[in-house]
Amino acid sequence: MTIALTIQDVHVTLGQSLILKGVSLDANPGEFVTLLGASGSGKSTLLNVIAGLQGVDSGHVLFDGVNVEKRPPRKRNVGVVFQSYALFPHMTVGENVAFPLRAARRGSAERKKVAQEMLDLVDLGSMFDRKPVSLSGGQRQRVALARALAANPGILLLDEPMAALDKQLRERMQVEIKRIQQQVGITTLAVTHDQAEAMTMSDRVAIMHQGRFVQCDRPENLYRRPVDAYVASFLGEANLIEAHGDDGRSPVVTGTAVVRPEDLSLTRADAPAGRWAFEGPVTLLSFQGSRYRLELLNVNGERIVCSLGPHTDVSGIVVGRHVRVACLDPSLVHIIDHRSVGGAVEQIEPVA
Amino acid sequence: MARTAPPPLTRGVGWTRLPILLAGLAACVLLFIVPFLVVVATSWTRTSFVAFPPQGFSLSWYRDVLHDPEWTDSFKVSLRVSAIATLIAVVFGTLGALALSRLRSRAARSWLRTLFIIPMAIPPVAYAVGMYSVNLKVSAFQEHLTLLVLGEALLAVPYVFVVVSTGLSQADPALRPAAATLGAPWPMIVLLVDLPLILPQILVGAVFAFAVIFDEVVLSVFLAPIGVKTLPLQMLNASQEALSPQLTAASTLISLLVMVLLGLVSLVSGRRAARARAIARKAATA
Amino acid sequence: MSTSGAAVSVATRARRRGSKTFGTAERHWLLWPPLIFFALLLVVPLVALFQQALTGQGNTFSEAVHMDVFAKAVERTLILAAVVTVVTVILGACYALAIAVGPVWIKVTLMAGLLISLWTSVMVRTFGWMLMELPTGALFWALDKLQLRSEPLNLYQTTPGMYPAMVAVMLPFAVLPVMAALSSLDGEQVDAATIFGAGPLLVLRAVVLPALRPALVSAGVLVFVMALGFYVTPLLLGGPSNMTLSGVINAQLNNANRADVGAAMSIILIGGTVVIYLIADRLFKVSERWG
Repeated sequence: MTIALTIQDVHVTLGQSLILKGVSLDANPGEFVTLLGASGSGKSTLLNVIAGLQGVDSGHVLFDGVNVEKRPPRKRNVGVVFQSYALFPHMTVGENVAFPLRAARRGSAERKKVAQEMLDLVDLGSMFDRKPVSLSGGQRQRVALARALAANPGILLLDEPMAALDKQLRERMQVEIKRIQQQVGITTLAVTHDQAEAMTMSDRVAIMHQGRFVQCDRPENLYRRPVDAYVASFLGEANLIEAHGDDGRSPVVTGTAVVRPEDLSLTRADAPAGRWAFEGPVTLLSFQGSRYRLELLNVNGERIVCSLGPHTDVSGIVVGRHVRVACLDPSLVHIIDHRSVGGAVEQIEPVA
Repeated sequence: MARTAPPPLTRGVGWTRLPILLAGLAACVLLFIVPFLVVVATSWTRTSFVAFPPQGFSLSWYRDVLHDPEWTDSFKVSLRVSAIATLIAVVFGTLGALALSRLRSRAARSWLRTLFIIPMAIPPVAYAVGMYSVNLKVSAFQEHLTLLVLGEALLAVPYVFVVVSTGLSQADPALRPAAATLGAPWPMIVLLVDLPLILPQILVGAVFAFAVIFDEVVLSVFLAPIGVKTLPLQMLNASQEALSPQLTAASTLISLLVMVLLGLVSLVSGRRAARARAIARKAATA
Repeated sequence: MSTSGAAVSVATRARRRGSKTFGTAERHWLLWPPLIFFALLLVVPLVALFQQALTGQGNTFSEAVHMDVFAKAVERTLILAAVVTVVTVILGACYALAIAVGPVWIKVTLMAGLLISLWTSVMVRTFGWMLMELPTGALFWALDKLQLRSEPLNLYQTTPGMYPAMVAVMLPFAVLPVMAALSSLDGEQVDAATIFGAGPLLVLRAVVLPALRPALVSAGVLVFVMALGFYVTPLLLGGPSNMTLSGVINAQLNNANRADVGAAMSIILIGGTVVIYLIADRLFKVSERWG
């Protein structure tokens, strides 16, 4: 019974500070949307607004087109996985998972059956009678997920679901959660500050900054076509290079070019210079396992970061030596903040 | 094998450790242990008056106290008063702690805390005089222990409140929101989430409250109906007459009883806590 | 300081998670019964006290204030409470520190002593001191054995005689909060201070004491306020000529048969202690450390 979620122009004030400043979002049934942002960006507050744990000053929350902002949390039929998992420590795993059915006054046979099904879904069928304290972090997270899904909610909310897990487990659980979400087909909204996590799990990622959505799009579009410098440098690393275009007509186009480090490669000094070539002394070269990281200072004093493939020949490159790097496919360069009318973005080039 | 390093604080206090230890040990022995041993020792005496050092050794005063209805009756009265008053204090102290955990305004929380601690600060004599004045006005109370029980409950509420609200503040703040999003109405949250979580604190608070009430004498002085005595009142009266070894024998008996009971309670709860810790450790390393 | 900071952040987190959409019915059902209980049991006796005080001839309050015994008792009580508070807090800090840094046998002895005092009644502990202080009591016996004194003591039923017993009764109230504060003391801070070359005195002054200060202050406030209203110990050890406020009030009711004056004095005593407590509470956040 998955639902469509609509959020319209939500404002929230906590104490004196404005936490959400007019947030709107549409999520289709079955879609996985992640709110990505630094701490204090308001993403957890938005999650609490949807769960009903936080009231709104103005704006609307709609489930399948029905206004729910007056409904208390217990009548919203949402499943929430809390950051701490919030498993009831005095109940067994089975009792935890059966809790929403108990709240709905279902019979004990049905409670037991559904709880067992949900635990089987998350691969913890044998843990029914254990206490949460005797489980590992990853197991607790899966119990929390099973509990959130047990009452067949319309929407699943995940609040920093991986925060308490170590790195390896985190990567495994990202895939696992995605699998379960697709299997159940439930609309899901997750909150995280980890960009890799957001991109791995989501159909769409909404980037939040200071109480607003900056951009909401598919992960690859966010990465390739960020709307501004904040998004560009929040998602992965980016060289932000001041650029202008001069195609002979006025006015002149100016803007910032986003060049991803992995799109740059070493070129020979005598090769013809493309538009997106940078030259200067090396300031850092380090081997990072699957890539080399190379940093240089170009003629404008900008720091250029390149990520080179592991089979690049770096012999002879030492700190202080002049090298030239270039982006050989200009279509990979994305221009943001361009201030112009009528100028062609394709004509733009770095400020010399 | 290398000697284990001393803990940081021990290392940090250096030579001042010796004076600190001496002061602590002196306070402990002189203020706590010796007076208690004196009470115990004087109850062994064969003489008919309290004497230190005790003359000879006999347990006859214990037999005497146990067969004296003045002492046994007052013990029973105290048990009854303490049990009922503890129950009342636990109910209201726990409700107050639960209410505190649900208040959001900082000012309201602060006032509620202050209000619930205030009975500790009110001088029992002045409060007893107030209750005594009520007693004079309402003759219905004079014959029985109602006012005494209520007053004792009020004095014990802060202890329950402090222990239980500490327990509540240590619980994961996401548990109640979690229960709410899972569809539970508030009475169900109180019953299935809050109360089971704070049950240990409620029990500790109850033990505290019981001990405070069982020990409290001032309200009994003013509010006990004629001819009815609580145990502390009986002790106070006995101490103001000729000092009989009955008094120290009764003191020893009641102290030993309490020590054995509380010792057992803390042994059981300590073992439970240790088991919980062991399980948590095992899960953490798994 | 760090503990109270953590408590505040937990509280704000709880508040952020709580919301305007939680029912008010819940708060009313949980809040009103204890509030009504308090109102009845605090307000009704207070009203009765005022009525009682006003039944007397003339102004019982000014009569009480102008009584010689009352003025003397106020002075005696304040001095007693102040001295007992200072001594108790200092000893309490030493006691808790000794448990923290002592060898095992001292830890065990001190914990045992603390439990004895917590688990035996104030009455019994006061008897212990009575038996110590009697002219030919245990103290005299010990001094006599040590050949330090041969004539009986006159400590019993004097003002100085009240002090050790009061400190003994109050000491657990100082030891317990300091122990709690010590258990959350950051050992790495102490180590850091030691490594940077701080001697023991500087470590105590710059690291340990600041960490203990909130506990010491709240213990001090509580001991002071409770000492103002103490009844049993002054009654048994101070005797009739060294009465504290409690004793004077008691005497007004039971000996002088002036319930009206006793009620007036009670109001003054309650007012005094509650005002002191409220001021200390606002200044030092005492309730927040207890609650």
